Parts: sequence; structure tokens; C-alpha cells
Amino acid sequence: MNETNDKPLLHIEKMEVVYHNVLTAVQGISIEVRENQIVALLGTNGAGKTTTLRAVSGFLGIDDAKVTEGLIRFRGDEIQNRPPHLITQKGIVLVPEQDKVFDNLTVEENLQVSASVRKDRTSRENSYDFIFNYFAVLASVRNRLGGYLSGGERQMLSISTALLCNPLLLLVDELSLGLAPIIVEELMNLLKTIRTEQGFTVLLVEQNALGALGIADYGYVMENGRIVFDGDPNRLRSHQDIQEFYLGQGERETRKSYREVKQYRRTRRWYG
Amino acid sequence: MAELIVYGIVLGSIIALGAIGLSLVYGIIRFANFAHGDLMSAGAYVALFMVTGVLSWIGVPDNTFGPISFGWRMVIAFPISMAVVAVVAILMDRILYQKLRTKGSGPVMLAMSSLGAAFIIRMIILILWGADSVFYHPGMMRMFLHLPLGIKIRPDQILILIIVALLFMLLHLFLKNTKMGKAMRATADNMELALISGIDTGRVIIWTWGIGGALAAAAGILYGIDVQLHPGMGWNFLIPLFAATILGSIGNIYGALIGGLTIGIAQQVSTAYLMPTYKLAVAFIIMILILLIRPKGIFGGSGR
Repeated sequence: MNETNDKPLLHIEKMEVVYHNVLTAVQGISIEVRENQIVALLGTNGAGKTTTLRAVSGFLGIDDAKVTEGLIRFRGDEIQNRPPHLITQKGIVLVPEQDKVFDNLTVEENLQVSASVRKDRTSRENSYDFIFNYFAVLASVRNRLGGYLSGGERQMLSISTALLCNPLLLLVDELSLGLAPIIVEELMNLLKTIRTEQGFTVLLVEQNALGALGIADYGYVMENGRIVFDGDPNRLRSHQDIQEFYLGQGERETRKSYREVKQYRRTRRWYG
Repeated sequence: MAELIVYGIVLGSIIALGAIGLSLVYGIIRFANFAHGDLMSAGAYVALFMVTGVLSWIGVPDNTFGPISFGWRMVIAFPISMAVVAVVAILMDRILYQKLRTKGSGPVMLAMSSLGAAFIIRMIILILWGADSVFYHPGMMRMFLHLPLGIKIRPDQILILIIVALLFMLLHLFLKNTKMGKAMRATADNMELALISGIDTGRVIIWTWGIGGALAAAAGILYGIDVQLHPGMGWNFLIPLFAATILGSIGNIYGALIGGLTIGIAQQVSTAYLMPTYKLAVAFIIMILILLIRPKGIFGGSGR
């Protein structure tokens, strides 16, 4: 594990999440996120990544799910099973996977609604400039309704509204989903820049491992509700299973035609 | 015919006031509040209690403004009644609906409980004021203005239109420009995202009930001024209210305004061809037709 700081900002300890009292979605996972890090949580559909994020952000209650075992510590305080607005007040802000923006509000109103949560007036006024600094596109569509934005603009607006909530820890659910690769790359780099300049921490959930590992300081791989592998990006990138199943490199060179490509050439073993 | 359309606009504007409240509540709290019609009755009767009771004991003069059928008493009673019914609506939510919501009851359970609340309000009115029709100013001569196209209209009715337009403008400005108005629109759009953004949805819900209740009270009083007061008046308004709300797309206040006017005009114009007792059936038929042809209403484009 990374030993640079003494205590992690977010510490998930052996957390288990159960839906509807019967369905176990996440089984005893432990994740550490240190201050100013970008930590990537990788995995395929249904691995439990989003569940983990919803557990941290407090939305499990709405889904009729619960953290049944283990702890989530944020700056030392236990926050598992707390309601969302209290968690947002503590500085954990979620950029959700779907329904990221208010469709019937304009871009500017979307920003205002978020900014209105801030108590101090002065920082509220400055905050607009810094948003449009990073996302110049948003300034040009500020009077457009959220529902009419492009996928990239929606993602930018969603990140912007989250930034206006003064996050200490930003939870980003699938930054890349449904976006063109070039926009994903741009957003990833922008996220890293903003993180460095504004000084917060990011927990990034991604299916797009390549993009996420490009900016992450540390990564976890989830499968079937468990953490199966973790390490810094270089360690992850060099792992054979990740190359094959997440980065799609594997034995591609030797492939002659699609007919020879089997669904899985071997099972994942996750050691080494 | 022109006259029926004008009467339809007057009736429609009253329906619209009620439908806007219903639509707001539906958009934010997501259940069909069957007690909304009876909140209208409650508003009308609270105003009656003020006009014939409290204000006459205090000694507010009972004169009327020129050609209009009410005076200072109503001017005072109107906002007080709106405030009282707003508080009643908020209390109903605290005592009843909020408890059900926290227990995880579905929309059907909430709708049924609102049906119960509707009966309770109506019975309280029946007990206190009896089952007869009453007027704010019994025995008033109802005078008419003669407009071109053979339209006869009472000054009261013109005033009703002005008051509805004023209330609607106020609501529009509130939703567009204030912090709470934006938070309300955001919550109606997406409750979960509102929670993420740190909006205090509990306060949004209180405001929603308050505004819905106040508008219902205004609608009830205006109907009382235009026609008469009756314990069943709000209940009879329920079908036009829902028809207007659905026609204008649930949750959309501008749609509710258009829907209300449409239903009101359709109801009044139908009296030229049908017996007036079938007015309600007209609203009902329109509602069924919309549900069959365009269930999301005229402004409902999105897939949700």
C-alpha cells in the first residue's frame, strides 16, 4: 500500500452491502483513498463498483440496501448508512452515472442550484469564473436547458455542479460512459488538472480502464463484489489479466481472424 | 357562443389555479393528491368564516366596492384564507403523508390516504356549516356589463381573471428567480440529483404544500365569489382538476394553466348542446381521451 500519508481520507474497511436484505452485492471490500490522490476503481458491469460509490455517498437507503458489515471512515468519522445530504455536507460529492443534470433547468440555473448550498456569498461569486475557466464550452451554452446538452457538456456541467459543492472527496461514476474517446481523454486530463489546482481527492469508478489508469495514482480491480487486485497504475497495466480483459491487448498480435477469438481464452486468476 | 367561451375562460382560470397546485405537488412529491379539491372548499369556507364571522365581530364594514360583489372584508379574508389552507396542507403532509413516505408506502397508498383526508375535510365543513349552498353576500344584485359580440359579463368575473393572472405571474417569477423556486424545479426534475446537490428537499416539500394549498384556497374563494359555496364544490372540481393536470402534462405548471383553460371552455361550451349537469362528464371524457391518445399530456415530450 501507499505509505506516503499517515491516515487515509476515505477508508472502507471490510464493507459488505446487502440489497433488499437478501442480495449481497459487495463482499468485504477494503479501499483506501489518500488525500489529493486520484484512485480508480475498475471492473466490468455488475462488479459492484457503483454500489460501492452509492454506499459512500449515502444513497443505499434509497435503493433499499444497507451496509451490513464493515465501516466507511471519512476523515476518521464513520459514515456508513448516513443520509445523503449529511454526507454531502461533510464534503463527499457524487457525480452520478445517469441523470447527471437537471433537464428542465438551464446550465446557469443548474450551477446556481448547487452554488446556493454554499453558505458564504463571496466564494459563490468567484465560483462561476473558475467553472467557466475550466469549462469554456459551458459559458457559451449557459442559457440552454440541461436536457439539450451534448453528452460531453452534460458531463462537464455535472462535474461543475459537484465542484460548486466544495468537495473534499469527489466521487465520479463512469466519467467515460457514452462519450467519444477524444472527449474522454480531454475530460480525464481536465479532471486531473482541476484536482491539482483546487486540491481535492477523487475516487473514480470506470469501465474504461485505459483512460482511468492514465490519470490515477492508485487502482483497484473489482469483480463479483470483491476486490481482486490493486496497485499503482504501472503494476495494474503490467498485469496480464488486466491487459487481456480490460485493456484488450492480450494476445491480439497472434490473432488471425475473428473466428479464432474465443469469448475467454483462459479464466482470470488474479495472482502475481 | 362568444359568451360561453368567456364564461369558460373564467371557470377555466379557476380550474387552472387548482390544477397548478395539484401539478406542483405531483411533480415534486409524486402522488395524486385526491384531497386537493377539498382544500379548495376549505379555502372558500375559511374565507366565509372570516367574512361573516371574525371580520364582522371586529367591525370591518360590510360595504362592497361599487359594482363588485365584495368589499374590504373579502380583501382581508382572501390572503388569510390562503395562509390558513397553506398551513393545513403542510400539516396534512407532516401528520399523514410524510409518515407514509418514511415507511416506504407507494403512490397508491398515498393516494388512498389522501382520499381519506378529502372525506375528513368535507365532513368537517358539513358539520360546521351544513349541507346548504351559501353565498358570501346573499341577496346581492348581480349586475352585468355588456361587451361587444353580445357578451354579458359580471365585474366580478373580470376581477377573477385579473387575480388569477396576478397569482400565476407571481408563481412564475417565484419559480424562475428565487433560490427556493429553483430548488423546487430542480427537485421536481430529479429528486435524487437534488439530494446530491445538497438541496434540502424537506424544505422544498414544505414550500410545495404551502403554495399548492394557498392556490387551492384562492381557487375555492374565487369560485365562491363567481357561483356559490357548497361543501361538495371541491369534490366536484376533482375531475376537472385532474383532467387539466393530465392534459397539461403532470408537473408542468404552464401546462396546467393551458389545461385548466381548455377544460373550462370545453365544459361551458358543451352547455350549448348538452344539459349543464353533463359538464363534469365532458371533463371526464376529455381526460379519458388524453389518457388514450397522449398519456403524457400536450407538453410531455420526455420519455420519463
